[in-house]
Amino acid sequence: MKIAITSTGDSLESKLDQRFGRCACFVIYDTSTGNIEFVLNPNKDATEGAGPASVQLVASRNVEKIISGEFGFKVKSLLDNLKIQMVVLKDPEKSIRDIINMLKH
Amino acid sequence: MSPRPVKMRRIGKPPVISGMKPYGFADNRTSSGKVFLNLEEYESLRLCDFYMLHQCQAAEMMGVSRPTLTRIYSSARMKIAEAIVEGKQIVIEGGKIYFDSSWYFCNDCGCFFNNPGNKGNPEKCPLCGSTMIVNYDLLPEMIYKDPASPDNFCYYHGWGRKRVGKRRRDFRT
Ligand SMILES: [Zn+2]
Repeated sequence: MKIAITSTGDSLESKLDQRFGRCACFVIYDTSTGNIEFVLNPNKDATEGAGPASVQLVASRNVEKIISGEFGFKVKSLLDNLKIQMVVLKDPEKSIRDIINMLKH
Repeated sequence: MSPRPVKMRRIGKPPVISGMKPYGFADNRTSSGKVFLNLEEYESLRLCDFYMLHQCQAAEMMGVSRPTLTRIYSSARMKIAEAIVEGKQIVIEGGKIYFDSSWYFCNDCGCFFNNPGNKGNPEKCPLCGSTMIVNYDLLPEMIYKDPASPDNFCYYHGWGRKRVGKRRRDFRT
């Protein structure tokens, strides 16, 4: 299963970005292969439409689950319709490495 | 000319019944027609009259403008009045709406997660794998706090069952 994690940067030491649409980077973690890919978010500085554009980006990667600190109203209904699971973790101190370790439970 | 986009309204919870039937007609009739209450109208009654929220709060929660909410709400009240006064059956159905998927909370790692499509009940936390999870809807103090929203609008404004309960008690005394 592919899982997207919003990240403040492109390393395992980067933190969980609390924003979804305007996060710096998406980490795509494949639980079956253990493969980790960093995708810089082109919508990072978008003035509007960052949320839906980011939904499109992660949906195109066939992600089934997204971990972030928040999801806006529009994003929530889009993800609900796409049946992509949202996981909200309000912990800006967690690193991407921490989260991947949690997922390996 | 392109068609006007269908605007979806958010509904917190599906109604527990499909409708209501009148009984005990004064003139021995058994029925006298139906009124159709759509789900947007049902939700406006649930928020404004059952939870006694202000219309601006209800509008915010349903994702509609204040004037739109007022229109939906007055239509709902007219239909309920018609049903009671004329002894009509109330049928709850239809409307351009979507239901929020159910939300859960993990007591171990403190994350919130939804259940897309609301298929079955999740058994463990999708993040840490713990089974110490609770249905978020069952946490009364959080009833209107949207776990996924950036501002948790309703929560910070102190809305919710607790405060509403207090207002109701005040109202009775
Ligand atoms: Zn957990």
